[in-house]
Parts: sequence; C-alpha cells; structure tokens
Amino acid sequence: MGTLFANLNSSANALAAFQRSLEVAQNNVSNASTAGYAKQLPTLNALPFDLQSGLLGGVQSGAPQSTRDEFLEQGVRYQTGLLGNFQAQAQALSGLEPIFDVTGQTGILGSLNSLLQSFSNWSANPDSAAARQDVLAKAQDLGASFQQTMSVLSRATDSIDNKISSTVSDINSLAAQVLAYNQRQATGGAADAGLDAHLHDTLESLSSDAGVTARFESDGSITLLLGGQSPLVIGQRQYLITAENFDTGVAVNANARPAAHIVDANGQDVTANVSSGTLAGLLAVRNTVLPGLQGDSQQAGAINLIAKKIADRVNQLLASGLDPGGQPGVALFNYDGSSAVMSARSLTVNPNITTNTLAALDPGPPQVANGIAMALAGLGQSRAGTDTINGQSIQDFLNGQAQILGQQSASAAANKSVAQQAVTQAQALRAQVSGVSLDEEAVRVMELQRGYQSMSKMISVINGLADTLMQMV
Amino acid sequence: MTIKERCETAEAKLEKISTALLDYRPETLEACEAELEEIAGLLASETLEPSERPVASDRPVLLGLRKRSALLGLQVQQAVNLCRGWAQLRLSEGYTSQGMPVLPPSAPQASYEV
Repeated sequence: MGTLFANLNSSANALAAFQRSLEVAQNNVSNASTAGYAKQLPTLNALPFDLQSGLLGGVQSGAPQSTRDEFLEQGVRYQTGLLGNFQAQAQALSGLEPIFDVTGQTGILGSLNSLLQSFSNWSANPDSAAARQDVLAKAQDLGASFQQTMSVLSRATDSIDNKISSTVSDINSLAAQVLAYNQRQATGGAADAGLDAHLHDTLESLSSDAGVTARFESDGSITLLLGGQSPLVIGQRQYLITAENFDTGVAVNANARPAAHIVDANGQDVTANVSSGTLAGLLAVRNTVLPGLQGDSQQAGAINLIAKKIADRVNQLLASGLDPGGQPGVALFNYDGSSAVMSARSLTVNPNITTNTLAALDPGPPQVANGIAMALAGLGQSRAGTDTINGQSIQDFLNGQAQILGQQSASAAANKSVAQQAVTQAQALRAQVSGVSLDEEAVRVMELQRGYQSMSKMISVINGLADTLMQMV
Repeated sequence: MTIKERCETAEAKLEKISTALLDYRPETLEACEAELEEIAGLLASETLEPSERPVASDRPVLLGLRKRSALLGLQVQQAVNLCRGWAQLRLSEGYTSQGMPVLPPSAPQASYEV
C-alpha cells in the first residue's frame, strides 16, 4: 500500500505541477495588456529519486520565472525620458511661435512694418495731417503689439510654472508608490508578477516625468535617484522635491521673473540633476528660451531690446528735428526705463504728442523738410551703429529672433519624432523578450491538448495489451 | 526477453513518461509518444514466442504494469481536461450551470445550397 500511496502522491505532485503551468499561461494571457507586465515562465523541479529509500522521484512546480530584462527596461526608460524632454519642449515652443509672424502681417513685425510704412508716407507728404495721424495710430499699434507679446510670454511662463509644479507633484506621487513597494519588500512579501508590473509601469512613468535611476538593492528594495544623484527614495524613506522660483545671483534687473528651480528635501537646488523627461524640457524652455525673449534678472531679453531701441531711436530722431511750428520735436514713445525688462510691456505713445508736434524737418545743415521722417522710415533697415542691436539692423534682429525660435521649435519637434521611434524600438525589443504573445500562449495550450489526447489513446492501447497478456495467464 | 523483463522495461518507461510529460512543451509530448509506441511493441502478444507466453508467476508484474498504465492514463486525461477547460474559458463566454461551455452567438452564414 505504501508504494501505491507513494505513486499516487507522485502523480498528484505531477498533476499539480501541470496545473500550475497552465495557470501561468492563463495569467500571461490575462495580463497581455497590463502595463509593465513581463511574461512569466513556469518552472519545474525534479524530486529526489531513490527506490531504496522509497523516493519515487516525480516533479513539482517551482516559482514562475519572470522574463523581465532590466537592461532592456533601462533602455526603455532612458528613451522615454528623452521623449518626455523633447515632447515638453516641442509643445511649449509651438505655443510661442505665433508671437513672431514671419509673414510680417501681424504681431510686432507686422506693427513695426506698418509704422515704418507710415513714416515713409509721412516723408512723402510731411505736411499731411492724415499722414501724421497715421504715424500716431501705427505707433500706438506697435506699443500694443509689444505689450500683447509680453502678455503672451507672461502667460506662457505661468502655464509652464503650473506644469512644472504638476510634474513635480506627479514625481512625488510616483516615488511614494515605489516607497510602498519597498515597504512591502521589507515585510517579506512574496514575489508577485502583478506588483512587479505595477512597479515597472511606475518607473516608466517616472522616467517620462524626469530622468530617474532605479537601483535594485540586495534586500529587494529600490533606490530611486533623480538624475543619478539626488535621492527620491532610499529604502523606506522618501525625499520630496519641490518647485520654487528664485534667482541665485545678484539681480541686475528689477521686476524680472525669477528662474524656476527644483529643490530637494534639504533645501538644496537640484535643478542641474534634472537632465531628462518632461521636467527637463519644461525647465529648458522656462529658464533659457523665455528669458531670452522677455528677460530675467541678468538679461534684458530680445523683445525688450527691440522695444527700447525703437523707442530710443525714434525719440532721438524726432527730438533732433523741428515741428511745423519750428519747435524741437516731441518724443513719440514712453516706456518705463527703471528696469531693462520693463521696456516692452510699458511701451506706449507719449500722451503729449500731437500731429502738430511731430517733427519732420531736419534743421541740417543742410535743412531738409522731410529729413527726420525719411530717417525714421529707414530706421528698420539702418546699419548705422546707433540703430543696430548686436550689430544687426532692428528688422534683421527681429527676424533673427523669429528664426531662432522657429529653429528651436522645429528641432524639438524633429527630436521628439526621433525619440518616439527610439521608444517604440526599445519597447519592441523588450516585448520580444518579456511581452506576452496571445497567439503563442493559445497555440501552446492547443498543441498540448492535441498531444495529450493522442497520448490518451495510446495508453488505452497499452492497457488493452496488458489486459490481453493477463488473460493469457 | 521474458515477459517479466518486458513488463519491467515497460513500467520503467511509463514512469519516465509520467515525469517527462510535466515538461511544459509540445516537443516533450512527441518524445513521449515515441516511448509509448515502443511500450506497445514490447507488449504486443503477436511478437511473443511460445516460450515467452505469460505464466502465473508473471501475474504480479503484469498487475504492477497495469496499475502504472492506469495512473498515467488518469494523469493524461486530467491534462486533456485542463487544456480543454482553458480553451473553453478563452474561446467561449463561460459555462452553464450544468458545466457546459456557452459559445458566443454565431452570425448568420451565407448558404450555398441551391
């Protein structure tokens, strides 16, 4: 009887092992679409076989083996980080592009062209009241364009600040999930494919938000570092990060918007460690592109440089001329000169100027009736030292800014496209190793069924043969 | 080869198949089928010489073989049922209270009958 029970026990083990294998296949199929899931493979362990000791061998199922390859996972996370970076940059920059209408019909470029055209018309008819009135109207339009552009840039900055805060909050929330995983590991939780899938999905989301390094420790916990340096999670402790706006050096320009920074739990500025992901893209636009246009504590910004140059040169030229009453010209523009970053947003037409105080006459010598108006008409393309910005005429400088922004936007869009392909490629490579193929799993079970059915028939034949032999006894 | 030797060889092969069948691969089944064919060849009464015919003393070894064969039959039948159940779960919409699979409703088919 002992041998019979041992045989039955061995068969029971074997059946349990087989059932476990099928369960693993079914679990793979059920999780084929689960984010972060890696295909599991059943493992079988041979039992000791020694007839003299009554050990009949057999098999028992071991823990399912994950097909996850951390090297490939790291590859996907790296590419996802790059994609997040370029995606954020492309989106933010495409929102800024319209402020420069390269066709010259609208925006600052369009208003400047209109003002220069009104100066030209005025120079053709210096005594025309309508031409003078048009100059004042076009000057007002230009002031409004500068203010509107600064307003758009300000709103874009607010929007990016909000996105930075939201991304930082998302990072902290995802890091908390990694912390929860570590806490579960510390309590000795068994290996769980579902938990593992959730963890890797979380790490991928984190990589999309910011470049994070996940280190798998020997105790089963994950150490999460921002940019490979600043800790987000170590063991059972989370280190929160925050988004703050402040300037690091001595501010040259008052009333400038401070730069955005990421600060760790100890108050240390860790912005430099954010080199990838959405957060890096947002910080690049927020701290580099936008200040280049609207200025910051250290620089005036291209828009302010243009506004100041136009206002200063127009006012200087008018002041050097004489109005129809023989009086020195009155300034056309007013702006707040207290800070280099205030020029564009405060640019308005001087409320004291009238059509009669516009000075078209250049007293010379030689005296030219429309000399000032002509100089104003040529101001946009003038390459005289006093009329240029960084060695370029005002219009060339303005066009150059539009080109730079356009190139940055196009470059981010192209990089985004390349990064998207790289992510798809990395994911495909990962799927080859650890992805679940429904066809593969279904075919495997159907093949097994057919095989077992055929075998069942053969065993019936063997039973019949054994019965025949027994009848011969 | 005596009938006792044939039965012992066949039983050892059945034991080996019982373990090997648990390797979760179709190719293992093919190997096992080949083994089963060999066992059938060993036990075919037509191949026995008159001197090799079973005698009363062979009864215990024949019973042992029959028992081992029945156990393997159960194991394989269980595997067949598990596979069938799995396929039914994946391909059908579940079971009735009587345990019969509920197949998805079929769409009307075009008839080629004249």
